[in-house]
Formats: sequence, structure tokens, C-alpha cells
Amino acid sequence: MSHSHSAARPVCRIAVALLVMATGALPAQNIDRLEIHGALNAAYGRARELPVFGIPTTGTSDYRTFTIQGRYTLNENDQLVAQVFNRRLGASPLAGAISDVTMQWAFWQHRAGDFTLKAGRNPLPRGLSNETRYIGTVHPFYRPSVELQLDAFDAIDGAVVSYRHELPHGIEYEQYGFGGGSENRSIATTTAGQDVRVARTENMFGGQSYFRFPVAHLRLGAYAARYNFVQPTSKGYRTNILYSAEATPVERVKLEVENGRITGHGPSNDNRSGYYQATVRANERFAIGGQHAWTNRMLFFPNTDLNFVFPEVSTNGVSGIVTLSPNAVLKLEHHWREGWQFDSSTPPIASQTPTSVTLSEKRRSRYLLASVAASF
Amino acid sequence: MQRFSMWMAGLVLGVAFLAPLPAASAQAYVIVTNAAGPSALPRDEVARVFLKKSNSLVAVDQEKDSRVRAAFSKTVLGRPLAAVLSYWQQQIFSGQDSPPSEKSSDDAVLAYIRSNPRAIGYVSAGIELGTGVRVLTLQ
Repeated sequence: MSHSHSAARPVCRIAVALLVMATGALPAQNIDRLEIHGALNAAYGRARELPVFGIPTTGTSDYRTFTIQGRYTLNENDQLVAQVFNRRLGASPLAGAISDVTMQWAFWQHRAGDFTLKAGRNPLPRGLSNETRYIGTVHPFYRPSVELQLDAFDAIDGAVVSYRHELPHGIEYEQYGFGGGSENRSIATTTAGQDVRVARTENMFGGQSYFRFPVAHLRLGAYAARYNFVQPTSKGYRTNILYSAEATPVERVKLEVENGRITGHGPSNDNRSGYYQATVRANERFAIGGQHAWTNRMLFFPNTDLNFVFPEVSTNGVSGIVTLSPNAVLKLEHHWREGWQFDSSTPPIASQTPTSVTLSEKRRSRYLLASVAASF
Repeated sequence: MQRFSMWMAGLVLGVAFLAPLPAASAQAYVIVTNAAGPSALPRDEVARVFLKKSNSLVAVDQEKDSRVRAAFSKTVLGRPLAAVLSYWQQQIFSGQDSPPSEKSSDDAVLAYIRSNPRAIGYVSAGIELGTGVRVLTLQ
């Protein structure tokens, strides 16, 4: 606990410095160069049958993300960006493994024509929902699908180069390339309880391509990356592929779908996850959202003939969204979840004989989140 | 009782979805540049400038809750203001870019444009523009 506080202290000082700078402690010419943005996402959550994502059956109001970002323009082509991130995870075991406050980004950005270089700790271009993962005002739910994004890869320590180009017929093309390292945080639910795993992923490299079409604001993209996966007890590598699409076929409707797969060895891994999501806006004030997300994971056995893919998580959610102002929304959402991933110990997923494997019975729970999100 | 509540919730949602979206006024604004700036530009180029996809000019916006901005977003940027704000939040919090600066009134927009030769903005239709600025025509 003391470690967490001492780690958070310098970051808090930076946050305070950013605020002081924003409120006028600098000369006027510097204020013009400095922009401050921030986002709050605060919720009350309550699970019904089983706790999940840190939401206990007794309810929690200790559920929040907050970011504050400072962007300082050095000259026409160069900027320095820093973003401080505060997160509370309710009763999640992850809360004890990560700091309440972290420096989420700290990077230098240089533009040269259609090219942009970012160096330092900067956002990892990994699909649509990762772009604004913690920004509640742009999502129909408290957060994007955890099944796809996991608690990982929200930033990369290294460099990202991007290129934007306009093609004929109003089509825009974006290309990203990156190299560096990132973090993977997860909770494995076992018969003995819960195992928190915080691991570095080094020697990471990959890229992402996007096409934006003038029809229906259609955006199609693909991401691929390879990285070394280092845990206290094992070393290996992972390959991650992700496909993304979003569209606004009619003015009131936004559709989004992402599909990903992570494969690798050390230990063997093959999981496929994704989500479908729709937001329908009734008018300027009200909207509803719907989402289906899943993770299908391969179970590996010494007798590889027995390997098979099982539906580890299947979840559905609906939400009602009230726009309070251009900067603030109120959301009420309900989720139905089934599978083998909850915040409680679980019986073995499968029982094995020399010639067959039988899945144990999946478990089910529901949870509710009421949240307010604001950003500027 | 529970079934009745569900029916009521469905009815409320249905009524909400039947409510029409407010129509944007097409003539609510004029686009303005510095007197040294262009007098005509294609609509697409103006949209690209305001979405920072082109840096041929420097855009200045009005505040998020202004009627003139809602009308401008709808007719020039081709999307409702909520979608434009969502676009900028995506740009900000994906670490890519930040939106054009916002001014709190037509006068503030005009003052900014007068003092910046590369500036472009929009103000309410029918107001006195004064010197140092010119109306931009969409091609």
C-alpha cells in the first residue's frame, strides 16, 4: 500500500502542476501554447449472482476513471503531451497490483507533412475502442468491451509513426507502425482463487491500417503485432491480429464491430474475442446502446488431439444514455454474463479422461452500472 | 406488476424514439476569413480545415452550445454537432490532435480573424462584420 502511495506522489505533483499551468500561473503567451483536456467516468456498480470486474454483489461506488491531459505546443510541428490517469476498480484484485494514479502518456509528437512521429510513452494504435478506452462520453457503455481489449495495451513505451493520405473518391488512408513495449494486466480465475498477473510485453512491433470512406462514415481497419511475453514463471511470444469496422448507416445509428485473436507459446495461447455494438440516438438528449461480446479460448492438453475451443465468456449489455450537456452524459446499463470468468474462485473448466474432455457447467451473473461521464 | 413496468418502459422508449430531431437552420451563419484570406473555397476544403485534416487555414470555432455552431456543423461538416464533438474527443484522447480554439461570441471570432491572416471562422448571419474580414463563399 505504501508503495502504491509513494509511486503515485510524483504523478500527483505533475497533475497539480498541469492544473496550475492551466489556471494562469504562466505568462499569457504560454497559456496559448498549452491546452488542457480531461475526462471523468464515475460509476456505481452492483452485481447480482457473482462479482465481476471488481463489482461486488454488495455494490460499489469506488469505480472511476479520470484522465487529465496537457498538450504543449513547442512550435508548428512539435508538441509535448502528458496524460495522468486515475483509476479505481472497486473490489477487483487488480486494484492491489496497480497504482491508483499513473502517468499514462508522456510523449513528444513531431509532424512532417503527412507523417507523424510520437516517441515516449504514447497511445498504442490498436483498434477502434482502444482509441478512447477510458472516455465515457464517447461510448454507449461505461467502457468498451473488456473481452477484446483486456486490461492491456492501452499504451506503448517506444515510438509510433503514422501516415495519413487522401485517396481518390474521398477515401482516406491511415497507416501506423510501432515498436517498443507495453503492459498486460489480467486476473486468472482458478480453483484456488484469483491470480493477478501483471506482465511486460517487450520487443513489440506491428502496424495498423485504416480506410475511411465517405459513405456512411465507414471506417475499416486491421491491426497486427508480435511481442515477447514475459511472466515470472514463463517466457514466450504472442501474435495479435485485430479487425475493426464502424459505420453510421443513418444519422441516428452507429454500428461498431471488432474481432481479434491472440496466439502464441510460452505457455500456449489461442483466444478469439470480439464484440458487436450499436448505438441508436432517439433525439438530441436520449440514446440507447446494445452490445454482444465474447471470448472463445482454446484449451490445451498434453494429448493435442483433445485440444478444443470453448466459449469462455459470452456477455450481452443494454444501456440508456442521457446527454446532460455537450460535455456530460448519464448512463444506466445492465449486463448479462455467462462463462468461467468472474471475480470468484471457480471449479475446473473441464475434466479430462485419457480420451475425452468434459466442460464443467458455465456460470452466470448480471450486473448493473450507473455512471456519469464528462470530458472537456 | 413487473410486466406492466416493462410495458411502460417500452412505451416511454417508443415515444422518445418517435420524437423528431430538431432541424438545423441552413442560413444561420456566414463563413468569414481575414481580409487577406481567400474569398471562396470548396465546402470539402472548409470541412477539412475545421477537422484539422488540412492546415491551409487556421480554424476558430464557436462554443459547443451555440446555435450557430450546430448549424455550421450540420451543413458544412456534414454531421451533427454531437458527432463532431465525438470526433474531437476521439482525436484528443487517442493522443492525435486537439480541436480548433473556441471563442465565446461572434465578436470574439471576428477579433481573432482580424488579427490572424490565416484564420477562418463563422459568425451569426446578419451581424455587422466590420473591417479586416471578408465573407467566404462556398463553391
